[in-house]
Amino acid sequence: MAKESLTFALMGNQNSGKTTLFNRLTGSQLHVSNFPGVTVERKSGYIRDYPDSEIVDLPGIYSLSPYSPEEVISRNFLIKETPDCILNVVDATSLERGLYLTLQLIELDIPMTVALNMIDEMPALGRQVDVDQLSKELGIPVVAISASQNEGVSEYMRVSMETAINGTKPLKPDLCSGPVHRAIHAISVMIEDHAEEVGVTPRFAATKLIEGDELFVPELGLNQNELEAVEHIVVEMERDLETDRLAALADMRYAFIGEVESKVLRSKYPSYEEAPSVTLTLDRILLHRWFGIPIFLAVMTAVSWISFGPFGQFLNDVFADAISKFGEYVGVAMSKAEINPTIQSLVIDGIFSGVGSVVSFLPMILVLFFLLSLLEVTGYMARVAFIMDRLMRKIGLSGASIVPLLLGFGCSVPAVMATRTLPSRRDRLLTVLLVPFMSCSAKIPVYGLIAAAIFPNHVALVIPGLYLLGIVLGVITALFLRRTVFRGEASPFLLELPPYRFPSLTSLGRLVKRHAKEFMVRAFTVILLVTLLIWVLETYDFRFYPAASPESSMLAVIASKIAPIFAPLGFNSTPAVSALLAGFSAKETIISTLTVAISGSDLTLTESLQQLLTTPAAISFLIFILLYTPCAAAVAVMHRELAIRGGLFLIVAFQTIFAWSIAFIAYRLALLFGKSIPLFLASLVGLIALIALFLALLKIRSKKQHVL
Amino acid sequence: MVLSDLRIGQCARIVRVNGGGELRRRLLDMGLTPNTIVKLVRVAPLGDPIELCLRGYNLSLREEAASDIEVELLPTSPCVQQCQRHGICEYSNSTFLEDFSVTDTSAPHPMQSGAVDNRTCIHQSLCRDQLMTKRKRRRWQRNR
Repeated sequence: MAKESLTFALMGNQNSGKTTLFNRLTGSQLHVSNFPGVTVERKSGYIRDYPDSEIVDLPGIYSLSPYSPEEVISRNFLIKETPDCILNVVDATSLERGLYLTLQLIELDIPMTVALNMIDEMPALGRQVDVDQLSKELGIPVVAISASQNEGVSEYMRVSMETAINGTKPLKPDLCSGPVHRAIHAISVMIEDHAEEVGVTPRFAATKLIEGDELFVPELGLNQNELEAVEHIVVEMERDLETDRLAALADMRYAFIGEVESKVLRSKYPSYEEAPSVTLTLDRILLHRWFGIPIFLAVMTAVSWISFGPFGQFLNDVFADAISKFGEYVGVAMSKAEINPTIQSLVIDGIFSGVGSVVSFLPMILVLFFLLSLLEVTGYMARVAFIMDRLMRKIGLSGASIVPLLLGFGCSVPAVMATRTLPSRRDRLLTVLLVPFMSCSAKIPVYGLIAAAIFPNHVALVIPGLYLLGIVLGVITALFLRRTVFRGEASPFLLELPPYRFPSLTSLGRLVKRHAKEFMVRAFTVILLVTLLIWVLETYDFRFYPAASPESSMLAVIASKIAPIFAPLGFNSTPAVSALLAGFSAKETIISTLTVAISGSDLTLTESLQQLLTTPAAISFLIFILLYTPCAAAVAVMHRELAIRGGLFLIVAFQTIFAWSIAFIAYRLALLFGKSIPLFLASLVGLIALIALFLALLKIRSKKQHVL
Repeated sequence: MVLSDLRIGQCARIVRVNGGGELRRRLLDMGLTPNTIVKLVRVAPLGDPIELCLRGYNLSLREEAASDIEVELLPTSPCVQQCQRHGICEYSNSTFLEDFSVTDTSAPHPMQSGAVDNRTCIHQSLCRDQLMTKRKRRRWQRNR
């Protein structure tokens, strides 16, 4: 019986290569990386060779338990929207753990095939798998593939299509033995009708009843008598096995897997011994007791130096030059064609100076993004979590939170989304609230332009200084929140450390290309719109006549009404305030608004900026931009993730008030210290950060003598 | 003895996973079930999360969690463990490398050949050359 269209569900452990396979199958270009748990939302696409078939990429999970949101998403999809076939991706290099999930999936009695991925890495580890034997033992088709090398993928898809069309269910649904087997059977028989009502197999329901699954059991709607009977059976089983129910089930599954594995896997090294490999050698250095942290700091410094230092600057200058040349050319062409001066002004002053100044920062942003992705794809990010867990714990988070936070330097939106991989709600909330402190890459143009105009000799100092300030304030906020709102311990930290993998240049290239595309799309939609809006507000007054003087334009009138609020911060001029207003739509527009607002005069942008902001005012302006409300997109995502009443208001108000206070303090300090401020402030911030880190290290060291 | 008492490089067999709630459940799901052999690979620079090697993959967890896992220490000679894993010889503290006579290099691994004698269980190339480097062996002999 062939159906019109088939649905496949892609399931597997975190970091087993599901998304790579998904990309192979669909040709779509999703974000693939080497950190456990990057797919946070389910994504679907159509299979290239079978256009009628949809494939859903589900988050990576280790078990069908109900703890993290990903597990719940995946499980609900399988139970409620029963796919035609499960594509179970198993990492051949950690076979046992992959099969643990496979066994649970078999219980669901849905047609399934196993893709034994990363088979190409096996020889290096001194391991070998008998795929046919494995298939026989499990009772489901198994195909060895290497998604990254595109080996065996089409064969795998062929087998899966066949399985889906024929609806071939797993041949051996009963993979258990001993007292657990007896208990499962006794319960299955008893609750058969309940399970059918919910639409799952009695066996799956029985397992969940034994496990005491808080989410699923109520759905079954058992009455008191039945629940008691189940409890009785389980207690009996516990007595027979002299262990508890959870351990009994896990043990039963792993025992079965161990048996299967002894038949199919030939390994040169025992499973608790690492094979001599690049990963082992690299980890000896990168996770070294003394060098590990300095290396991490060096890596982060290198990333920021490459992105914002001479190299990034050079790229930007080249790009900005090209854009301004192009703008001039267009301007000349338009005057030649004698186009309406208003349109000319719109294109040149509005679009080119506004959007152009934002777009010119594309190379810098891409370099930063490329480097961060490189760290993630190779597997270093997971190590960072390992190294930093102890420190993150100090601020009430776990090492896993470091990933969203580091992503926050790229863009707050994916960073906030990435918090979904964190296991507890408390950790997620706290991390989400900290993301805005990580200065996002959209702010680079703003920093870059203002720093270049006001502190021409200290650009490479001012920008990292702002980043550090953000981090330090974030830490302080976290400590404060930890003491007040978010009491309690960070959630358990259990993280797989994947082997280092060579990034495939094509996938990295795709990633950067996608990011560049997103940025350009934003530049030509949101930013263009805002730029045009600002241009209109700037050029016309409230009666929609061309403004006689800059002071009578709509924007100037609105901004001048709010401006007094910023007087204590030193930047109450109209252009600065209107730029901040525009910045809420997207941070990049701060700079485009500024340029549009001051482009009327004959001065160059640098000169007008120098006129607009005194040195202390520039410092407070930069700090205010660093900290004030995240952009609309970020606020929207945060609001969704926080899911607390008034979350929206909370973020906007809290961040803005906080920014105001810090900028105020900085402005007053800067006024006090006079001339050599940029150097002084930047080094001060750096010093504070270093001392804080050093103290933290010292405290931990002295507290605990660790083994060996 | 609990897992957090291990020193770097030591192996142990899990006896019981204590504690409760989500953490315990996750530990079991990740394969830290009774009778699993784990090795403490390293400790994080700041002394806390520890890295284990088990079931062919590497897992990091906090000491706090590790202290909930009761283990039984295995002797550090990789050779003896290799044998135990294949179920070839019985575990005992007095079993050391010298007690085994080394079989012919060209012969198949005893496990494969099926000819298993608890005194002749080490395939020379497997044991001497790859699992026990000279340095390791010297250290191990010194420790005795």
